Amino acid sequence: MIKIKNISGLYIHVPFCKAKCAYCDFYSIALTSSSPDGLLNSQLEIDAWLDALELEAKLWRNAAGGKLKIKTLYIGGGTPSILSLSAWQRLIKIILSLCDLSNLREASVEANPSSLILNKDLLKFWRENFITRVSLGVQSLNNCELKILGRVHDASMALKALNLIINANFNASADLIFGLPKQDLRSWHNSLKLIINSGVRHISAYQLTLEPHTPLGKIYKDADLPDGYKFYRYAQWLLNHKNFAQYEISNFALKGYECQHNILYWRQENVLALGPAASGYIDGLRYKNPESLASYYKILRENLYFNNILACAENLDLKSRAIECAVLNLRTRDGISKREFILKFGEELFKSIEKILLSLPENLFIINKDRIALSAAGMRVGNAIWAELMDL
Amino acid sequence: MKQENIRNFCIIAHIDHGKSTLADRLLERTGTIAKRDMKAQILDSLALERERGITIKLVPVRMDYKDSQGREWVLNLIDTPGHVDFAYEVSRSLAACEGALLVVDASQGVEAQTVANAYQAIEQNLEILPVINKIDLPSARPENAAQEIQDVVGLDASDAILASAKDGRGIDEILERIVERVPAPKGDANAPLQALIFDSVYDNYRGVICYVRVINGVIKTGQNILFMQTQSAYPVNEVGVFKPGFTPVDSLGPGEVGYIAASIKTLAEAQVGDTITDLNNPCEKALAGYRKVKSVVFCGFYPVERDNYPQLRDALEKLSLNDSAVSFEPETSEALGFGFRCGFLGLLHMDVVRERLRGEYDVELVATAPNVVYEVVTQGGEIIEAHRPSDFPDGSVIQEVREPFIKLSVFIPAEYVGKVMQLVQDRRGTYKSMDYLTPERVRLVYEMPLSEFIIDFHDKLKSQTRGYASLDYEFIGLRAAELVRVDILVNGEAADAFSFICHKDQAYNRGHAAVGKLKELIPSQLFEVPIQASVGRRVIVRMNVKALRKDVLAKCYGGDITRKRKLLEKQKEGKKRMKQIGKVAIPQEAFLAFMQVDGENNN
Repeated sequence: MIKIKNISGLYIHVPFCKAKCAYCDFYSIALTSSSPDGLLNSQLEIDAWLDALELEAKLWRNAAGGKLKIKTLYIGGGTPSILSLSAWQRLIKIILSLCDLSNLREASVEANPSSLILNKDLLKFWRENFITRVSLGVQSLNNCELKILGRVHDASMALKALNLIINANFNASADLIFGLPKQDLRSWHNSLKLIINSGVRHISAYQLTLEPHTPLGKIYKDADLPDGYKFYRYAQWLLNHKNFAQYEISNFALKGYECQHNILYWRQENVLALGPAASGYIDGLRYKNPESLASYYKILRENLYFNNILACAENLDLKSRAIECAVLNLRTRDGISKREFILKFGEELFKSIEKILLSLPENLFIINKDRIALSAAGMRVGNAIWAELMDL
Repeated sequence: MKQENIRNFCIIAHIDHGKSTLADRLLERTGTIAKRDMKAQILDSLALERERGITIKLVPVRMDYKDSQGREWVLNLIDTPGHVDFAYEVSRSLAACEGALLVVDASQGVEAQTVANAYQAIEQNLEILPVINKIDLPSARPENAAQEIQDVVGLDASDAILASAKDGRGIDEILERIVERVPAPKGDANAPLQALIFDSVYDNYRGVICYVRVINGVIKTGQNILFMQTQSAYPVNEVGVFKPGFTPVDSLGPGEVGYIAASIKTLAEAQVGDTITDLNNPCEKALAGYRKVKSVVFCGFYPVERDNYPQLRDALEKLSLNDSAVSFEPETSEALGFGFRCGFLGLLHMDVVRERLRGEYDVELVATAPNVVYEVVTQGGEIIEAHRPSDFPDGSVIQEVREPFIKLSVFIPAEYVGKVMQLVQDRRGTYKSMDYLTPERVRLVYEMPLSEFIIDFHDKLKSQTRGYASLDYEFIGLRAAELVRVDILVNGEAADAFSFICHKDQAYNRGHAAVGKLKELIPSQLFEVPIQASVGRRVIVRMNVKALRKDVLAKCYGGDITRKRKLLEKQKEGKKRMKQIGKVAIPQEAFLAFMQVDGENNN
């Protein structure tokens, strides 16, 4: 049995999409609802997932001996916004059965433009049910780029969906991808500008990674993609200029609108994760649920859930935990707090990490009394800096 | 078989002039090998030989031939390699024969190597039968080829046999001519045994197998024999002939060619060129042996995976059992770990050995760029043999450096004279002579440093002349030259693996090329990395590897931090395999790319 206390956040994975995007390597299955049969099958599949989720929530509640007092909630996917209103009602009920929301500071939902436009009642439902933040998968506002990515929406749908979210009084966030085949700085500027002007308060910018098993990964090779440097550096400059501060490697926000749930990850705090392929962290234990609906159902039905988690999880020793924590902290503007780090891992580990970092060129860091953080230039080469820490 | 019915001959031909195909036809016509058993070019037994269509090892074969008058003959064919690197094998074959077919391509004419080999045959008093091959080709000009044999080699070619190994024309004539013209071997069956070892191979079951030509006396199973040079004695386990393949017989008499096996453990005990005699009734004098072959080109062989060092050592040991011309000694390289410094007869030989290690012994290896051996004379008069740049003492104590020189003869169509002269002069060649062999063909003679020759000279020559050039070279000894050691510094630290020796006038260009190449190969680090080339303390070239600009990838999705950590750990594993020069991590591949010979094919 796993002992749990101090769970700060809850993540729920919704493993369904209308169609798989060409670049996406995350676990989800495409639902076909074009025929009455398909629609019925989809409903059955979603019901089965909710049944399993309910069971999973109950197991954790029992393990905790009561409701979890979470600070943040994040419902991701997949595409949570393609669930019907009735499915959402059930999902909210499951969350309420597991969590005490009296300390809840933020509750995010991921959505995509096409489903949100078709499913407008959802926004009202979310508003009435403690959801505070909607993160929209825009990816680009250039229609050619959207086509390459295999997205079902176009630029005008994305802007329309953003508008709906903002008008419904949510904190809106948009995801963008750069480094796309044929993308240039002008089209990147245009996507950024339209997003900034749309009224969002948070922007995530990711570089396209070609995953070998995805359709895009089969068509393109890394050499076909433009160098990501210029896009990233431009985003750092433009967004900062427009008051979106870079508070993490890939994330920019107006002051006070940083994603609290994500910050939990970078601070290595405990996050419980439910749903297939979801990853959680509890006091040094990193676990991941099975990456298929079938095996997810199986372990829950056959009462093997915790056995499975323990068998598959990584239990990090103090040193690995310290390195991981340093790497995660360094993703953020706040960086490593010397005081907090020493409290968690001791002086010796801090010193050896500090020594490695100080041997690197100074311009990569911002160092003050208590903190070591990456500068904008440091963030651009973050990966190489973290790799240095792996030598510890 | 009666001695007067034996004919021993070899074939002299340039690579590509159809020697192996001709040999196949002879085997077929004499019924030595049934047509259905013919693999393409049966005598080229090494996989590499068949692949590249070249002969490397000499291979003997015995044919039983019945001529048109019903007379029976034994014809021993001792095949010879055509490439200049293997000239020493040719001299061995010649010593075991009384005659030679001089095969010339009807459209290409006489090539340099053919001339050199024909001269050797003349020197050894062999009967030479000119054959003009490939007369089936539309471009064939047999009269011109015959004229070249007369003009260039100086042999009468008025009755040269016109043949096509491809369609079988001239094959009967060749066999009849051999019987008619090549003298029967001399030798006395009653004299004390005297047999020349002209080659030896290693067999896992029988030990060393010596290929012998009996000059006098008889050798048979059970006999106690003495190797005159090594003074070791063995009882003979097996005597046989090549039919082809090892076929045991009771004995070999004077003039016969065959093999013996005597459970000999190492090639060193049965050296090529040694004379075998009877332990109880020895002959007075050993036969004239061969000059010892000397390695002229050296390079380092290193296993790709460091753990495979023992496999590489075993493979080299086994390979050297049947290629006594390879020499090797262990060495270590900072960059590549444990390996061997190997010596070869030339570049093709080096390639062949590398291919055989890969193909026959399944060893993946890295070969460093080839180099020659220098002689350094210090101020104190001490002479140092420098095999690698690190053997060079400090510049201030060097009095003189000497390097091996060759006399190079290039045979080319007249139109390429200008281009080739330029090429040779760029490589520090000194002009000696030029003569027109025919109005269209020219022989250029130059003297040049061997070190300039071994770096892709042959490739360059071929490409400048559209493949029409052929060449021959011989060593003419060591000569003083103004050579310097160029050191390469990475981030201020000397990187031994990259330093090299060159002429002082080329130091800048070579240094520039090396630094430029390293700039491409060394991945960006978090800081700027200067790469410099220096001679002594003087920096002659400097370039910088710019600091890494961007290395951020991928969304760290839904808290799947394990995945990100695994990627970082993988990166760390990769880094472990890198070589650290000061603060700079250089991947193994960069060393390999830097050290490996440019352009894989040198033949």
